[in-house]
Amino acid sequence: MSEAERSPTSEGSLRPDATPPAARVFLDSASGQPLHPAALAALTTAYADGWADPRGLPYQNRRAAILLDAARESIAVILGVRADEVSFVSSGTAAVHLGVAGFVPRPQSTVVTSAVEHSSVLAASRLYAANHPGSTATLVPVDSVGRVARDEFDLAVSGQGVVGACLQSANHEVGTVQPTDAAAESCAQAGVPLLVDASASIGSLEPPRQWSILTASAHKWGGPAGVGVLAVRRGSKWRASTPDDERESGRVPGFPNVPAIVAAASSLEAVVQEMVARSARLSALVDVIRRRVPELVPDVQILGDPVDRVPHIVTFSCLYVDGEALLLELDRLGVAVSSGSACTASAQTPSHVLAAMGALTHGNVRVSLPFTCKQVDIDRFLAVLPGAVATVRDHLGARAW
Amino acid sequence: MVTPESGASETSGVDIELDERGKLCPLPIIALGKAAASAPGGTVIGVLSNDAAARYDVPAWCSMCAATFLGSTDHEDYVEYRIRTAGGNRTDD
Repeated sequence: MSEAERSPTSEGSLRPDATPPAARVFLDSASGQPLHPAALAALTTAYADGWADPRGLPYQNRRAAILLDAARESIAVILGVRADEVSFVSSGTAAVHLGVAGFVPRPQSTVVTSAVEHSSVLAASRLYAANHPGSTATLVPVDSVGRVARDEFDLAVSGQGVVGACLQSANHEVGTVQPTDAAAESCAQAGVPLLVDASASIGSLEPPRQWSILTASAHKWGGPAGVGVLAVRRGSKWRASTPDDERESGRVPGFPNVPAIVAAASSLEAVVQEMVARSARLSALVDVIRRRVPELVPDVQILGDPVDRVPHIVTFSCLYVDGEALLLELDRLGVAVSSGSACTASAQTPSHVLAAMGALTHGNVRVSLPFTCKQVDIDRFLAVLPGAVATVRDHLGARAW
Repeated sequence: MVTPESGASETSGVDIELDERGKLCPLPIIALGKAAASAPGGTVIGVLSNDAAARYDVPAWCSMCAATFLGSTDHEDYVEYRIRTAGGNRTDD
């Protein structure tokens, strides 16, 4: 990849040949859904009515407190917990950081995670181990579709000194659903709190029911960015790692962004209401991609569980293709996707998820359908993909033999 | 960069050695694909690479192209991967 090809993204500019915005197709919802109309409406109202500090006593403050309480109650009902078990935080990543940091240390603590957790979970576990002398972070391997090895997970959590375990509800890169209920049972037997990072599935699948700590991110369900959820069940072996603060049951410090939280709750209510029908529709579109891509593109590997997956994510890797070049070529043709390959804007090493699965790490494309995705969007993607792959292969001299 | 086996490789039985050091994936894998396409079935190819992705992509290439991954040897600043081709043609041809 030459500097000339890199510069458009690194400078953040739009290229002159850009497809008109209205004709563009967005297939990267796993990194953030467009704002749901319900969230936008709620945001406008809540900024007018819920701007004050919800902890104050005067009228304006009580208004903000009522809005915040209602949002908390609404999300608690969807998660199946009490309102005081739900705290709001500034992002899904911050929720994970605080969630992992709250595992109660012992001498020679161990934090167990699957090898394919979101990078925030892995980073938080490594920091936990570094901050508690003699401690370790244990990674449990996955199979070729990215599902954690159950026996090895059970064995790991039943070991000495385990202070917490983390398992995502579903994988954010390949969509595979993880066995969190079974993991919760083995964690309960071992007396270990289980943190379930539900960011990839909330709003698309029924929320996981068995966990001690749950984290999620509002912009993945059509809420605004800047709102994460940290839910901690009463009686869990968990304590806040932050300095004393009365906010959010002492779990998250600082003045919460009430309007954004209200918008996040409105969006989740709307998204959950439409979930069953929408998920069936999106899942059928993903099935089309899974079936058609190997017919349209030679030397491609479709990844993740074909059935037991979130409805809206599909990932594949194309042999002899530079993932970043393919992403940019698809963008030039008006289709936005993401890639787990190395050399893409955010990473110099390949995706740890693809590596753990033993999948091809180069030429990787993640397609994640927004809630509003239509057949015509997928048709457009499938129409431009073969040419885009051929262009990148030609550029690399990979079709000359 | 294809060189016949000449003692450059520490491992015996390598028919073709590809020195792909300093190149990022997918370039080493493209070189492997090209070499495998023109080599007779059963050819043992060694790939020298210092790209982190090669550790995953050489075995993944083998499983996609019905080749056999024979193993790897870590050196100070690169890794040698060894594969055996199944046939002389690309799987999609």
